[in-house]
Amino acid sequence: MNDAAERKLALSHLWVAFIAFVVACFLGEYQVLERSGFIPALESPSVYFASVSTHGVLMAFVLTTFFIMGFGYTIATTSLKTPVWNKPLAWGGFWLALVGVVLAAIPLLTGKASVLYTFYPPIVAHAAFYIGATLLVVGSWVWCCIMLVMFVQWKKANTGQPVPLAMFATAMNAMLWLWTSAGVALEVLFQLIPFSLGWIDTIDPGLSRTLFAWTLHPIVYFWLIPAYTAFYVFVPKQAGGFLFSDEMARLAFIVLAVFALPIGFHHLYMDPEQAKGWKLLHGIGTFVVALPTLVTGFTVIASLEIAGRLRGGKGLFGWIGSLPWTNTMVLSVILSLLMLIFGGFGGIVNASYAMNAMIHNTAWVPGHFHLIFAGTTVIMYFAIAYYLWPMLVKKPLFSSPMALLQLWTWFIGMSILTTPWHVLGLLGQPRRISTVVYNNLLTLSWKPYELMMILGGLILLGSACLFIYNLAKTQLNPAVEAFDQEIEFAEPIHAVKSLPEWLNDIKLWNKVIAVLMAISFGYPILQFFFMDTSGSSPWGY
Amino acid sequence: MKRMLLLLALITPVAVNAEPSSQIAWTPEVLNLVKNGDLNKGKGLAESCKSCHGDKGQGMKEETRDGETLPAIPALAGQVATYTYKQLRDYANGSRSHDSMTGIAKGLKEQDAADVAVWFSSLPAQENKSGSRNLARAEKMVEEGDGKRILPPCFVCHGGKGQGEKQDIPALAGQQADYFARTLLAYKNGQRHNDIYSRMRLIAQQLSEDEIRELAQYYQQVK
Repeated sequence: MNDAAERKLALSHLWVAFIAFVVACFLGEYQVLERSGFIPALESPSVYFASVSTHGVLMAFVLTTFFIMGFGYTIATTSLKTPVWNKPLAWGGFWLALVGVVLAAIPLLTGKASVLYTFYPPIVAHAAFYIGATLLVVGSWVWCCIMLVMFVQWKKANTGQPVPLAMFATAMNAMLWLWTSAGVALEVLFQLIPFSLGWIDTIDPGLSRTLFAWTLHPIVYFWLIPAYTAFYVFVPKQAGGFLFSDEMARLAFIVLAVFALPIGFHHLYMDPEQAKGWKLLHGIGTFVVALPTLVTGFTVIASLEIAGRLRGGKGLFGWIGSLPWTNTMVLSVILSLLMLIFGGFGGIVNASYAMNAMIHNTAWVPGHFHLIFAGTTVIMYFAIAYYLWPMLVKKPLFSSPMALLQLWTWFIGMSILTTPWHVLGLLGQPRRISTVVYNNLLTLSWKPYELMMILGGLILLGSACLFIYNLAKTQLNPAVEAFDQEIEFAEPIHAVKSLPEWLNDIKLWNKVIAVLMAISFGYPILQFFFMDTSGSSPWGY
Repeated sequence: MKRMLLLLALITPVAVNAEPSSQIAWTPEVLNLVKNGDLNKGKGLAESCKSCHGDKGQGMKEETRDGETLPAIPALAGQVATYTYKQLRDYANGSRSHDSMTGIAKGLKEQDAADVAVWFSSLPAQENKSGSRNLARAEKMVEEGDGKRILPPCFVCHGGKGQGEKQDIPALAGQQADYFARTLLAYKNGQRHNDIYSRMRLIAQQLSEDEIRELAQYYQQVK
């Protein structure tokens, strides 16, 4: 890291992210306990739904957005070797987003915004919730602008040079987020805020859900790209090898950004407001976005194999044992990929129009979501934090064994939590329920799985506390000696000296996205203005 | 031809009775009318309600005077405004009937009904002391319902604390127990029928009289 100002900026973002994360973990454990019904004193639908909404907002919006911003500032300054452009603006974005979080937290914690993080109009929350969420997004747009300005400035100053892969991925993510967040921004600004303030009497939930579907799938890739960035730019070096292919990595980020956007209707397969043809189109696109994941899986495993063989591993699988399993980054990527394999399988079920009907709105869906996001993605956030923290605070990590224990317990806890969650979905348990009140043989068969989920949640909660403890101790410990470790980016096995512009810039892909979005969302949105549909009055207070 | 005439003769009484349970539809205009009710005008209009519904809108218990049983009168304080409005309009439109209220409601314009409803919703709900009756069964019904009889938990519609919901779901907390029981019994035997989709009639038909009285006690004392 270049100087203290950049480190302070990154640390501030990362601390907000991780404090939100640990609070949300406590709420998560409460939720599995409450839902199981094993402790009657805990049962309260109003508290449960306030908790679920807060948990979702903290994990999906606060942890991710602040982490990605902090990570992005670090990547930009270290990979481009230049200070953050316009630091006052960056701090402005940080404070705007933080004020938004506090503003949204008030109605969330007082039960006035129990609409889950996906909003679900015509249920209406207190206006402060929507305004707070908007400020958080606007704060993140500031980050996007800074990332893109730094990207463009570097390219101008280094004409013809390949943009460092880490920065290319970060710029792609900034562009992806600007496109992604536009859908929910339209919904919040033109529908939810006026609705919650009583400026409009009715809302069209079909339009709202379509706009949210615009955001709902690519947002997952916005969260995932830092994990993929670490796969490509940190893991090979930490494993003791080289990146298999820089070009393949860029291609993966491009396809990810381009095809993550026009595919959100698989969230609406069972909704009536969109016709089957549009759903099919989005369904096909959903399978296309599996490609960069396959490319990533291949490239990362190939990079690990190179490292394993360089470390003396032999035979078809002997290289796996030669990998440095005690390196937090390497262990994380192995565990992350394992969860990605199983989560990816579940994702194919979700994406398939026919199979989706079996699991739609069942417990399978949050099970899948937790495995992919809280498993595959968040474990890489841990890895990134363990890697960056010593360099950000200029002190060695408090305890590497504790970090390894934390990563293993996160993996084990997530497996124990999400496997029964998927099974519960197949057994017909609906999602978004606070209690199971209709006792019969079917619901009784759910009990053992709910017990397992409580155990999984407890392990995860312990793991989350270990994570925060390790980071806090690292930062609060007195410095014993000068600490000069620098971030090391992986070198590709074949050095990249020049690149075609389409692999080194985002302009072309921005235009491609615009065309694809117009095709995928143009008519499906405009139809609401052609049809004379009646809106819905608000539900709840 | 004879068959046609017979059929017509049979369906005529059904057709005559095939009215909606209420004339009130919750359009944005009606919701806004209630939402924008005039509190001060409502307060003035509600002066005449005090003699029966109490000076704080707390209602009255069932009483026996001179050997005559005087039925309980509902608490209106803290009641959801849309619910009170709908009841007044239902009385006026004939969807619900009562010896005194039908005439009173017919004398109120729509705006008057909205004003009165808003006034009563602004008053704090009555807080009653807990009785000695064991209410475990009622509590279970409120929180869990009864799957075997396909009875949903009461809280799903009426809220965790019996506070009701914005759109025509009445608040039950603090309601006079005798009135509550009489209302559910009226739904049970079909005397009262202004509930949209027969929601409360279907539920009340499944409840025993004992259960109704326990629920009445539960909601009277819930805070």
